[in-house]
Amino acid sequence: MKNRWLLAIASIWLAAHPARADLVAHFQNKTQADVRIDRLPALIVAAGQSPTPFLDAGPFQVAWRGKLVLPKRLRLMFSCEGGGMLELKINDEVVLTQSGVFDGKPTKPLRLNPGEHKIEISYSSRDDGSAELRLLWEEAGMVRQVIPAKSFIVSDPAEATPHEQSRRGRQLFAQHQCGKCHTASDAFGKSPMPELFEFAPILQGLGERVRAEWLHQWLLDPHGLRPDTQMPALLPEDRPTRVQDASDLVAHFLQAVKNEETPPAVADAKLIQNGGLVFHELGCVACHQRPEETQHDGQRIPLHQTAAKFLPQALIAYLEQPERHHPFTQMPNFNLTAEEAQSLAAYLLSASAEPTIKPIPPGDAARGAVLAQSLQCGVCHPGSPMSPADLPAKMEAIFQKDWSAGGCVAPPAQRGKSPVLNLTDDDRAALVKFSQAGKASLGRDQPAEYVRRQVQERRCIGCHDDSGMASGLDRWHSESDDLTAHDGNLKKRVLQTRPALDFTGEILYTSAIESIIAGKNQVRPRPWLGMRMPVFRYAAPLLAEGFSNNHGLAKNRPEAFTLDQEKVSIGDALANSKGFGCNTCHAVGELPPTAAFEVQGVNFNLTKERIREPFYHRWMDDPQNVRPGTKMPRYAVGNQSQRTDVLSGDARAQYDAIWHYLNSIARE
Amino acid sequence: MLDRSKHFRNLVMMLRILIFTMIVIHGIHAKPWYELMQIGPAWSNTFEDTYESKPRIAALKGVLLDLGENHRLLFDTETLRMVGLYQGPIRWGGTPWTGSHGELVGMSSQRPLFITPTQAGWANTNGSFDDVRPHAGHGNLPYGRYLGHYRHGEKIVFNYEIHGANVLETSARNDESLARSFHIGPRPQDLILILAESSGNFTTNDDRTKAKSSDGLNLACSAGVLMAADPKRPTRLLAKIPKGDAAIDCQFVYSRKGNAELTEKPDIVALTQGGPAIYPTIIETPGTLSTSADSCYATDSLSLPQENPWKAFLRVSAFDFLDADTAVISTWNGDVWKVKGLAGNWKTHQWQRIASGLFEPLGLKVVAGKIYVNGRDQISELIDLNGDGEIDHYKVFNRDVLITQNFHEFAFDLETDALGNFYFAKSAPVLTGGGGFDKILPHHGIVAKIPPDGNGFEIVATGLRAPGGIGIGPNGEITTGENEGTWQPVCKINYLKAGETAFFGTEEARGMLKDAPLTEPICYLPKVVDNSGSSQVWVPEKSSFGIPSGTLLHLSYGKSTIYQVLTVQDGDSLQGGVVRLPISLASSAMRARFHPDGSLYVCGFRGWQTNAATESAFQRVRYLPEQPLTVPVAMKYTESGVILTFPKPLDAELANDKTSFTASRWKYIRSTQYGSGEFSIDRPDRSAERQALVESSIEHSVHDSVSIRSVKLLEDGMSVAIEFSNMIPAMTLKLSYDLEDTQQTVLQGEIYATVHEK
Repeated sequence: MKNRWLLAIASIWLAAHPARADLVAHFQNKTQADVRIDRLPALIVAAGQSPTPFLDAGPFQVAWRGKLVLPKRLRLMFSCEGGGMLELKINDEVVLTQSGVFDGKPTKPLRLNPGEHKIEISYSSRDDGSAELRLLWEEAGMVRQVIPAKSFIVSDPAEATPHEQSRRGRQLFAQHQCGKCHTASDAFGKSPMPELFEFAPILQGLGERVRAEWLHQWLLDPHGLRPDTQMPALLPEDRPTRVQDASDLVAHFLQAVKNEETPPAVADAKLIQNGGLVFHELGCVACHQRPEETQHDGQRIPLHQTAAKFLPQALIAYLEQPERHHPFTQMPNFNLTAEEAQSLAAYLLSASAEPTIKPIPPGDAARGAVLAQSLQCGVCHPGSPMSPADLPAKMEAIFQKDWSAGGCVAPPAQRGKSPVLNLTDDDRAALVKFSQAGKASLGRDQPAEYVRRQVQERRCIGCHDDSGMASGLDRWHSESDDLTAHDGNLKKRVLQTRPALDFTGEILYTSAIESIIAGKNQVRPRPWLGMRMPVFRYAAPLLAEGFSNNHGLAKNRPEAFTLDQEKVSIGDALANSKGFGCNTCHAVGELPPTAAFEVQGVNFNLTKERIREPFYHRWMDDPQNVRPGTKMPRYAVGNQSQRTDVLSGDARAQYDAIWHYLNSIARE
Repeated sequence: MLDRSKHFRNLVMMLRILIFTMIVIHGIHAKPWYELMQIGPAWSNTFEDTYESKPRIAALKGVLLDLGENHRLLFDTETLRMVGLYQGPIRWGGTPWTGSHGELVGMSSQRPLFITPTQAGWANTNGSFDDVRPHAGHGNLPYGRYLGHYRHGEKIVFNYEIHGANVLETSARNDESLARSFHIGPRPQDLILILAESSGNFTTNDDRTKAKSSDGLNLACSAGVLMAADPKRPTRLLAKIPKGDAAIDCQFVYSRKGNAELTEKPDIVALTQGGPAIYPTIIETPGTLSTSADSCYATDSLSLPQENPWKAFLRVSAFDFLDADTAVISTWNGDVWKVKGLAGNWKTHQWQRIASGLFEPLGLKVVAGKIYVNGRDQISELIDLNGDGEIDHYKVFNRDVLITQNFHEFAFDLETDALGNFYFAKSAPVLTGGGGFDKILPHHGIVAKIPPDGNGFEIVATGLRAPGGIGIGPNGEITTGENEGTWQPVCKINYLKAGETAFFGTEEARGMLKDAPLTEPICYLPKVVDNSGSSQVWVPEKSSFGIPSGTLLHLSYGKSTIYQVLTVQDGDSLQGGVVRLPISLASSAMRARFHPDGSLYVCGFRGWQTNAATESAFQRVRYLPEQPLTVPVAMKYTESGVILTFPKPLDAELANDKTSFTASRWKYIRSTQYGSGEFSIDRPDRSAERQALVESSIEHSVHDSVSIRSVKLLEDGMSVAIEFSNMIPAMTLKLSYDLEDTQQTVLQGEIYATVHEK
C-alpha cells in the first residue's frame, strides 16, 4: 500500500515533468540477466560484490541504451574515468573505446546537431568482477564534467518493465517483513537488504503512549486508520470474536499502565499558535496532511487521529525522539527543542479531531496475551508474545510455491487463514514476479539500489527536488501558510529553497552526506532556512555511500590537500571584495556575508569538508547549467574570465586559485 | 658563541611574533572603509536617533553637518527642523555603507546638546506644528520648502523658504556651545520656530532673550527675536521672528556649560558666494587601452582614483560628459568627480573631487553645461560659484519625491528628452529578504517626469519594483529595466511611448493607475540572461558602433553584460528579443552613454547581486571594424516564424540547414511570489501553475521544444527565414543559431525574445 502511495506521488510528478532523464541498463553475466532504469551511466562495484541484486558477484557486462539529448549544436569531446572495458557509440558510430585503467583523455571534437542521438555505452567489468565508470564530456565553452542525467532519455522503458516489477516485489517482500514469519534457514548472504532487519515498534510501555480506544480501533482496522501501514489486519471482519479479541489485546498491551488519561490539557492559544508555526516551518505537509483534514488524499499520512491516538506527554516525547520505540520509523528526528515539541504537540492535539470516547468492551489481559502469542505479534514487535514453533513455512519453501495460488500474497479468495496484508493487485503481481526470481537477490544488495529505494521510502522527495521533479513541498507547503500569518518576519527572509538531490553524490563527499543524514553536523550549512534537515540516523552510512555510488564514486572523504600559498593569496583576493565579491552572499567563518539579499550562500569554511573539487569546477563554470534559476552568478564566458587582469583572464586558473583559498579556511 | 647565536635567533623569533601579533591586532581593529572616508561637511541621508528612549527616524531626508570632535548637527530638510546636536560615534548602517539591508545610519543621542520632537520645524499659520502634509511623515511642508545648501570651505549654509520668507541658516560649534545664525528675508507674517525640547520645563528671562531648562540647557538669542516656552508643553522652547519687510539677522546660542553667550554674527550672505575648495588635490591615474582583438569591441579602462587623500570609495553610479574631454561621475557613496583626458592619449586622466555628501546618487545628467544629480532625496543642480572647479551650491532642482526609510528606496538614473524634461525611475520598498513590500507611497515604483524648470512632478508609469535604470529614445520613448521579484516573474525591458502612461506590474505600487491593464514589456529576460537590469541606451544617429543607429541597448547590472535589443513593431508598441554583444566589462553594466566620438562609455559597481568582477569600473567600449560582428542586427516576426538578419553574408550551406537553429519557448507565472519558474505553454501544468501563485516556483523549468519546419537563406545573403511548426505568443522564445559567414567565421548565440498576443 505504501508503494501504491509512492507510485501515486511519483506518477503525479512524472506527469508534470514528462522528460525524466534515464537510460535502460542491461546487465548480464554468463547465466543471469537484469535490466533496470539508471539515471546515469555510472557504476562502482567492488570485487566480490554483485553489480545488481539479480546477478551473482563476478565478471559482468552492462550496456546502457537510450538517447542523448542536446539542446543545441555541440562539438563534444568524450572521456571516461574508471577501469574495465568501455565502448561508447553515438548514432551507431564508435566514438570512444577504452580498456584497462581509463586514461581520461578526451576524444576529438564530435559535432552533434541539436536533438536526440542514439547512445549506447557498453562496459565490461574487470576480471575480478570489480567495476568503475564515469562518463564525461567537455566542449570549448564547457569544463570537463560528468554528463548530467538530464541529457539522457530512455528509448524504450518497457525493456525494463519485467525486471523493475521483480525489483519492486523484492522491496515489498522486505518492507512487509515477510522474512520474519517465513524465516530463512541460513543467512541471507554477503549484502542482505537492510530492510530485512528492520522491525515494527516495540510495544512495551504502550499504555503510556496511546489511548485504549484508538488501539482497539487500530487492531480492528489498521488500514482504515493509516492507509499506508504495513501492519496486517489480524482480526479480519469474518472473525466473529474480533471486537472482544481486540479488547483482550488492548488489555494485554496496556495492562502495565492505568490508561485512565485525563482529557488533554487545554493548551494556551499562544502555544498552539507557535506550534502551528513549527508545523509550517518544518514542512510537515510534505509528508502529512493537515491535522484538521479528515479526508485522506491518498498521498500523505493523515494526522486527524493524532489526538485520538496519543497521550499528550507521549506525543511530545515522540516528536522529540520518534525513534525511541521504533528505530526504523519513517518519521525522522528533527532535533526539536523541548519548546518546539511542546508547541507542535499542542497544535497537533488541538487541531486533530477530539479523542474518540466510545467505550470499548472490557478485555481480559490474560486472554489477550494468549491471543497475541497465537497471532505472532512478537515476530514483528520485539518483546511481544510469539510462538516460534508455530511459524509458517520457511522462506526456502515458499519460494518453491506459486504465490498467486495461496498464502498472504494470493487474492482474498485463495488467501485462506493467512494475515491480510495491505497489498494492491499490482503489489501482488510484483511479489509473484519476484518469487519467481528466488530468494538469492535478498542477499545481494548494493548501497546504490538501497538509496534509490529509500529516497522514495523516506520521502526525501517530499522536501527535495530531484532530477527536475518538483518536491512535494513545492506543491503542498502553501497548505499551512495560514499558520504563519501572525509572524510578519517570515516574509523578510532570504530565499528558502532547499538543495535538490540530483547531484548529491557528485557535489558532496560521502562523509559530508553521512554527517548531514546522521545529524552529526555541528553547524548547519544553511542556517537561514526556516526548515531543517531531519536525522535518519541508522540509515545514514549506507545512504551516503549509495548517493556516491550512484555517481560511480566509491565511498570518499576529504583527503590531505597541499595548499599553494600563491594561489591561496590570489584566490582570497578573487573571492573577496577586491575580486568577485563572493563574500557578499557567503559567510567566511565568523564574518557574515557583507550584503546577502534575496539569497545567501553556504559559509566558505564548510567547503573543505563538504565539496568535491570536480563538482566545484562544474558549478563555477556555469551555475545555471547545474541549477536552473540559481542566483549564483557566472563569472566567465567559456574560459574567459571577467577579471582579465588576474592569471591572464584564465577562468579555470582563477577558479583553481579560489579552490586553494577555500581549502585554506579553517572551520575553527 | 653558539649560545649568542641561539639568543639572537630567539630574539628575532620573538620580534617576528611581536610584529605578527601587532599586524593581527591591527587587522582586527582596522576600521572599515566607511569610517575612514571623509564624507565632507554635509552628508545627506536618512538618519535614525533615539528619542524618549526609543529609536526613531530622525530625518528621512536629513543633512548631517560635521561640526568636528565627533559633534554632528542634523537638519531635516522635509520638516525644515534642526533635529539635534549629537556627540558620539555614528552607528553605521545602510546598504551603500555596511551592506546591510534595513539598518539605518544611527546617531548617538546619549549626550545630545539639544533635540527636537518629530514635527514641523516651523509653525503653520495656525501656530501649530502638527504634521499637515498629505502623507504624514513624508514630503515637503505645504508652507515651506528646502532650496538647498551653500558650501563655503567647511561651512554650510542651509537655504529654505518658510511662509514666503527666504531663510539662510548656518551653525557653528564652540566646545559644548552651538550658535545658529539666520539671515531671513522679508516676512509676510510672524515666524514661529521650535528651538529645543528638554526633559525639564523651560523658563525665560523677562525680555525673553535668555532661556534655560531645568535639566541644564541654556539658550540666548539676539535682539529682535523672542524665546518662550510652549504654553501647551513647557518642555519645548519656541522662538518668534516677527514679520517685517526688511531682512533680519538673528542668532540662537545653545549651551550646557554655563550661560549661553551670543557670538559674532557671520556674514551669511557672503558665505553664499562661493568659498575655498576643500578637495584641491588633482589626482592623476593611468588609462589602459585594450590591445585585444578577440572581439569587435575593445574595452579601455580608466583607473579610478581609489587612492585619494579623503579615503573616498568610488563606486561609479552614473556619469555624463561635460565636453569631449571631460566627464562627470557620481558615486554611490555620494561623491561627484570630474575626470579629464578622455580626448587625449589615455596615458593619464586627471580626477577632481568636486562634490560630496549626496544621498546615494544613481543618476547624473549634464544639460547645457549644468550638472544635475539624482539622489534619494532630490535632484540637485551642482553649481561652482567661484570657478575653482568645486561645487559651492547644492541647489535643489526638484525634491517632490516621497520616500521612506526602506533600504530599497533607490532613485534610478536621470535622463532628459528632446524637450528638456527630466525622467527617473523609483523602486518599490521591498522587504529585507527581497520578497513583499514595506510601506508603499505614491512615488514608489514609478517613472517620474520633471519639467525643464524643475517645477512639477508627473508620474508617467507605475508598478515598477526595481527598475535599475531607464532609457529615453529619440522620440521621447521611455524604457526601463526591471528586476524579478514579487509580481515580476523575471527581469524585463519595459517600453512606453511619449505622452502615454503605463502600469508595469507591481500591484502594491499601482498608484494612480487603478484599473490600468498590465503593459507588456518589449521582452522578458529569463534568469540566464539577466537577474538585475539597469539602464537602456539608444545608438545615436551617424554612430560608428557596428550596429545600426536607432538600435536599443540594454544593460544588465546582474550579468555585467550589454544586450542588443532586436525590436519588432507590435502595433503602437514594441516587442522583440535580446542578443548579447561580445563586450567584456570589468564591473557591472549600470549606466552607459555614447561619446561624441562614437564610442560607448559604461560605468558600473557592485552594491547588490551581480557577477561584477570588480567593485567598480568606468570604461570605454570601442568598435573595431576590422573584426567581424557575430550577432544578428535585425529581427522580424512572420506568420510562421522569424527572419534574422546578420551584418555579413552567410555561409549558404549552414544557413539553409535546419539543424543550425534550435528553438524553445516557455512562459512565467506572475504572482505575489518572488520571481517565477519557467512553464510549458504547449502542455500547461495547471496544478503547478496554481501552486506557483502561492509558493516559490523558481526551480520549475519546463520548456517546449519548437520544431523548425524550414530555414532559408534569403536573397540578400544575410537574412535567414526560420519557419517554426507554429508561431504562437510566448513570454520567452529562445532561438539559438550556429552559423558561419562566408569567411568561415563562426556565428553562435542565442536570442531570447517575447512574442506578444496579437
